[in-house]
Amino acid sequence: MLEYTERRPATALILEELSTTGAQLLHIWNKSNGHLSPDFIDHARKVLLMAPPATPSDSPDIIMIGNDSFARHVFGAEWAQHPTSARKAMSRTYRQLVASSYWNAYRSNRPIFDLIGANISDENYREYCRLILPVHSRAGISQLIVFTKELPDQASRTISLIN
Amino acid sequence: MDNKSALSLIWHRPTFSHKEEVLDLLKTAEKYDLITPLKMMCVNLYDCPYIDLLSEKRQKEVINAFRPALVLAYTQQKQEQEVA
Repeated sequence: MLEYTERRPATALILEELSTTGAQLLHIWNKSNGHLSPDFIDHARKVLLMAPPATPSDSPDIIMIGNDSFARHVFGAEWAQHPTSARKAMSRTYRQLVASSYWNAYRSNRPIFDLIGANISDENYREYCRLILPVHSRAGISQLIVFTKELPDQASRTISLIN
Repeated sequence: MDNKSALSLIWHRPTFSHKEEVLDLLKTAEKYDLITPLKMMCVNLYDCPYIDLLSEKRQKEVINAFRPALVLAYTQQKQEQEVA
């Protein structure tokens, strides 16, 4: 299957088409101007918390993996129990494929939304959307809040039409 | 960073009692303004945002899970200070 990452505008209109949670997270980010708002706490189980990326060609270290997140669903409960080693447990090829948006979100300090089709592991091809929100604390500490959701059939075509 | 908070970044620190360790974690999280991610961690693990309401065993698990976030924060701040 064709592997790809396609950037889409991170707008409420597009996110609402795919996910109420994604739209709510974007709303919180906009309202808090990218700060680590307490409003994110309610969504903790659905997101990943990540460190700032060290390079544009690899995905960042993972701090927390939400128990109801798509990543935990795809990679498994055992994988999700060890966030600090979770990144290295993913294949280098997959990490490279999905890496650049983390870097761009961090560097631009803007939300990034993309569609991804990837071989998560052998014979496990998935299509999903991903919202990356760069957040920072008042002490200047940066993190990424990442929400992913599997795409329903034909969803990417619908999003293309919206654009 | 003062010495006491810096201790929370060390993995094995037998000189702290459990209560002191929880207080130190909270103090360090507050210093970096990372109380929200700490609460997210607590909610994700135990459906309760307040670490002080959890059992000692659960508090220990939260401490171990959250310590990497503090280490990253410490590293980030140190790098920024060096650049400045």
